[in-house]
Amino acid sequence: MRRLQSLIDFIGKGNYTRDTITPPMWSVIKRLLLGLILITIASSVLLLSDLHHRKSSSEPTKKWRILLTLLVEAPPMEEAHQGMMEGLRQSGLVEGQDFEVVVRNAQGDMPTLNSILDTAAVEKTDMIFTITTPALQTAVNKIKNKPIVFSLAVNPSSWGGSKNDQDHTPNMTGVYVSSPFQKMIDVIRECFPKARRIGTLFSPGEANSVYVKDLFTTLVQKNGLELVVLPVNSSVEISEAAASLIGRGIDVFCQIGDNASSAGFPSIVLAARKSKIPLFCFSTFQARQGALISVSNDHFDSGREAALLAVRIMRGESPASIPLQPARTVTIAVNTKVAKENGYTLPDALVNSADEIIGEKVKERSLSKKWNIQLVEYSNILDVEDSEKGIRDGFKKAGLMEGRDYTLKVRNAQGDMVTLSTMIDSAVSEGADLLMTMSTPTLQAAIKRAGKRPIVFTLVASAVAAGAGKSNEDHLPNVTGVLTTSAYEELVAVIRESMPHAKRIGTLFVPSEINSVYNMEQTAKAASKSGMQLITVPANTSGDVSDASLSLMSQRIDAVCQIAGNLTAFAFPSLVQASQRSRLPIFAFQTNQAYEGASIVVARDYYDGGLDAAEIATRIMRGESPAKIPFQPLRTTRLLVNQKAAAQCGLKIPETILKRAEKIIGE
Amino acid sequence: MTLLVGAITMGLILSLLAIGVLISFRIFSFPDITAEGSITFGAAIAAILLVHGFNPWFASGAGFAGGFLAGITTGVLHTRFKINGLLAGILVMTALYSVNLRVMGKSNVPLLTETTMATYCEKVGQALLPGGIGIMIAGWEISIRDAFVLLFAFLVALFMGGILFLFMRTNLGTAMRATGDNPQMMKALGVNVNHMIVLGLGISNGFIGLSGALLAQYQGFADVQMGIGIVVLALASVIIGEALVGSHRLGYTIAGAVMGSVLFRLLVAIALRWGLNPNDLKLITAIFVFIALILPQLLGKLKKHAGSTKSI
Repeated sequence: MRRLQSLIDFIGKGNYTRDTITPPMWSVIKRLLLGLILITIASSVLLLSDLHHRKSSSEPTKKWRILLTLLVEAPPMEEAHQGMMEGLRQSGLVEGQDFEVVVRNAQGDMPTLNSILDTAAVEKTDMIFTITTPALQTAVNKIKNKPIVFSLAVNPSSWGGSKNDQDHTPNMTGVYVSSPFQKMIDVIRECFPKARRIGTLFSPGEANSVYVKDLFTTLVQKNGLELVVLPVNSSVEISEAAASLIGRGIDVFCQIGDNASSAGFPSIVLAARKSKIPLFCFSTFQARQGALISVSNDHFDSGREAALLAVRIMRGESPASIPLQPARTVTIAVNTKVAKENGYTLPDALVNSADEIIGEKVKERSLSKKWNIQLVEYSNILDVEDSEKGIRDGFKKAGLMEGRDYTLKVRNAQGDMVTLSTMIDSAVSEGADLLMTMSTPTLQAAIKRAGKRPIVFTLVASAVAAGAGKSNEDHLPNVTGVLTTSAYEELVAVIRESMPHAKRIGTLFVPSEINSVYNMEQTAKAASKSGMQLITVPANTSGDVSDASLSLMSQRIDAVCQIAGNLTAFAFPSLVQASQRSRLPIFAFQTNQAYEGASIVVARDYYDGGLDAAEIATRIMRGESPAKIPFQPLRTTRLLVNQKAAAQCGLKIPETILKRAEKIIGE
Repeated sequence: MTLLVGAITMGLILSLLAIGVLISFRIFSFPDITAEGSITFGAAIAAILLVHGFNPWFASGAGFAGGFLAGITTGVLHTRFKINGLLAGILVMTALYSVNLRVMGKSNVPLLTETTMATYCEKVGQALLPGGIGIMIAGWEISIRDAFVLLFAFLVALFMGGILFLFMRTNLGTAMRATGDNPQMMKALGVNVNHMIVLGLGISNGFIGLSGALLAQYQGFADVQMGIGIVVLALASVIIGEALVGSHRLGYTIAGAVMGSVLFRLLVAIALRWGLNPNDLKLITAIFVFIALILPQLLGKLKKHAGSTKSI
């Protein structure tokens, strides 16, 4: 007590000694300057790598009234229309608050198109969206004082709307169709390497048709091939013209896109079918109509890009300063039905990489966007590597291609838990559309830091224990995944089958691994159900395992039933040595342990877990809501037997098990 | 922006750990490994209290108290039982491992739905900026929650750093610092050196426990493996901080530890953002620390060089 009193006196009020007199402000700042500068630099580097995630702060102050006008209704136009709407939504603008879109369709009638645009000139319209070339040309002619944004039109330089991409009609900008000619020629060569003469019809009355024909001619010649062209004046003449073009001895029919040939396309299909000439075209819709292969711009994507230009205008840029853009994405559609009918054999690689397959082997449409998938792992162990491989193969199985449908980036915290949150942040700021996690802490960090993004987990024994939901069905709306619970009951049954008199089975467990503890509890439950007792010995570090193993053997057990866990997997060989000395068979839950000396393994395969996780992720990418997908346990089990290990400890494995075994080691 | 805010927040929360390590390693020259256990201890106590519905302020305070006790234990082992300091820390750290499992009842406690400090920050933010979900800063949007958690972490670092600074300038604090510098002299002056060491380690680990409590609330779970390898990184932050401020005066070293911790987390975030091979993460981290350490020397050389040319 006296001591305490003197201590209190001693703390005192503090008579400040000389060395603690506050230095002048300036020198303080000078001392801290270097640190602050470095922190600022590091922050700037981070922010710069995040530039494209900026939201412009100059949000439109008014509600923009947009008039969307198109000449006809057809699938490509509809795709462009949907793409435009999607682009507006993606930019963070709110429909009804920042903009409203009025759609006017001229139903193929030019005069109607004119009157639609006349009303726009007088009505309160702030911006014009156009789809198709005629709609754009009419708009440019009529409207000089409102911005016009186009998509699905030919390059305006073909009709004098622009000199080049930078220098164009000042109130107009947009995304023009850049028929992917070179890609088309590559595809033709890939399918028909011997083809020399390519034929197409063009329509002299349509400026864009002449323009496209000339472009195509130059490029075909550049590639050392020949383009045979034939004029056609209306869709009525198409059938005849197609026949006479084929009569000129062409190897391949490759129809450029213009209005005349679009209207009469079925006649071209018929003519090509009659004379067994492969027909290529520049529109997915025409491939569905019966062409063999189409190589076209992704109209949905062009629409989306055009809408993003429109958003820039709404945020204050002038259309004159926004360069015109060629459509960038190319989609390939293959009609396998036509190929089969005509006996064409197409290269597998081409068919498999096609965005759309019409006819046999109907593949689901590729995803509506390229998904940015970020896989976050906590440590480097075998299970993680197996699961990762499973995930990659699972996406392949689902028909998704890396680079086309998704990008997959793997991050690993190397067992450093503090880094996990930063990993998730980093994945989010790289624009992750979907997070895949392995291990419990990773899942928890993702739930905390990833907002509403979908999360698909694996390598978690109980997601409910991790806090991801109340039950496997009732869980957080953005989280779902695969529970890698071991096959407790199955393994216990196998022990019963091979050792009918076993009473006490033993395992090592790791108190600090939540999965290990969970596995231990579940195994104990399963054991007691079939009249056995599970004896457990804890091990906390890899150094403990050999002593713990010896202690386990001394507990009068009949067999070892080693539960799954990270540490016990690393140090499994120590356990094998100890059990061999005591001639006790080991039953285990992890595949590789059958090779390391367990007599019988009933495994949930982590590779299969990865496959399942990829399947769930694919369902989410195809539009299913994670909220509706329950957490699912891994279902597949593998039974492996190691005869050599069993013989060493005198275990006679029943025939019934040997018959069922997927693999028998050391016969 | 999320990444930047997250990294700085993490840096500020872990700056309490850095300050704790600064007290033991620098002020007392005591190689205290207890931190690996006490950060988890603070997290475990806070987590279990929060799960049982206690107030986050109380839970965080309890985290501090838990760390304080752990530090005292290490100090007593060292001073009473004459156990080597490093070993005393290792003993307590090892024992805490089981204690943490006991406290939590399992190896991992999720805090995803509990009311935590982060929830409080969000509430304050909503009250100050009604109706919003995010704040625009120069075109980047950050959520109100993240912004206010960052602000809170900054205030905590400022407050705790300030308290420590003021405390270290009292008679007691001065005696503690002097004990670290020259225990013989302090003995001669009649100060009970052992008491100083025990109290110093208590305060040091109190800071570390508080850091753990806040970390658990920030990342949404407490896990028994949280503290593994953390002392080394904290020490790196402290040394970077010293290199930054280039002074051994108390106020500067505290500010340096905070800045070092923030800078260190920023560098880790950059390394992650640039998408290197995940297996190289630790290597890159080491390289960053190395660069941060030699930078002041380089700058000094450059300055000298500039000075010499001027004199000619």
